[in-house]
Amino acid sequence: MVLLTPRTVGGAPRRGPHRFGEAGSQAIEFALLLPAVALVAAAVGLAGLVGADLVAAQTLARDAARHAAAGDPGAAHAALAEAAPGRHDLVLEPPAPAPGEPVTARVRLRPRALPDAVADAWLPEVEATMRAEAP
Amino acid sequence: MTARDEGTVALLGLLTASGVAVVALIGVVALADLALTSGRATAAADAAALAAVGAHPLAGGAGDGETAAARYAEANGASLEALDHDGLRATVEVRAEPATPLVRAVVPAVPAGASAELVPVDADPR
Repeated sequence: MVLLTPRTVGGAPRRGPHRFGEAGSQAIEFALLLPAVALVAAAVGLAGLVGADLVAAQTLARDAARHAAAGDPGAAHAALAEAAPGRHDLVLEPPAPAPGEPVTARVRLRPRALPDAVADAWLPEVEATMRAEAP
Repeated sequence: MTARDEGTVALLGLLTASGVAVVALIGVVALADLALTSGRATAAADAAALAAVGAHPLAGGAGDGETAAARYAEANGASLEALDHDGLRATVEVRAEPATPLVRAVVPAVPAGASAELVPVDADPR
């Protein structure tokens, strides 16, 4: 009976068990994990920027509701256009409230860090409601 | 240190960095939620105080300042905690709950207060 054993033919003799193979596999694992870490780090930065824009939108919604409640919806639109030109949507409900009636300002502020398509699909509206005052 | 040891250290470093980044992400989301809740509470306090004084008969209201204040606090996602309605002046305290359960577990509610008063529009400042 003949037993066959694999062995290197012609090359240099191996000096240690799997030495270069292990280093290579560690390098591959490192290379696979690195993008994941970079992705999470980018998500942290993005979340910060989006959060800051949402907080700004909350303040703008309150100011817009206050203007609308004071009977000046034009000032609400103008204030938003000045604060975030081209990046906001403002809806006043109702557009011309009667005194004593609630008026709600709904604001969507598109973050600069997100593409418009993503922001439109995902970014929540921020709203504030005030009581319309007598003129 | 062998090549295997170096690789293990690099992997541990990466895993640690991943953990720190995930914790930082949760922290940023929590801070944003707290800031949003604080803004909501402030808006609710303003609206409630203005509604309370606006309910005064002199301002054309029906006279029930507390109901009006509670209604506008709720409309802004908060609840009315206290109302000091003294004639033409109202001071309110409201509380708003954070939207994220994780943040709510640490900070159940964010308080805010505001005051408003009725002033005669034709008053002579002298």
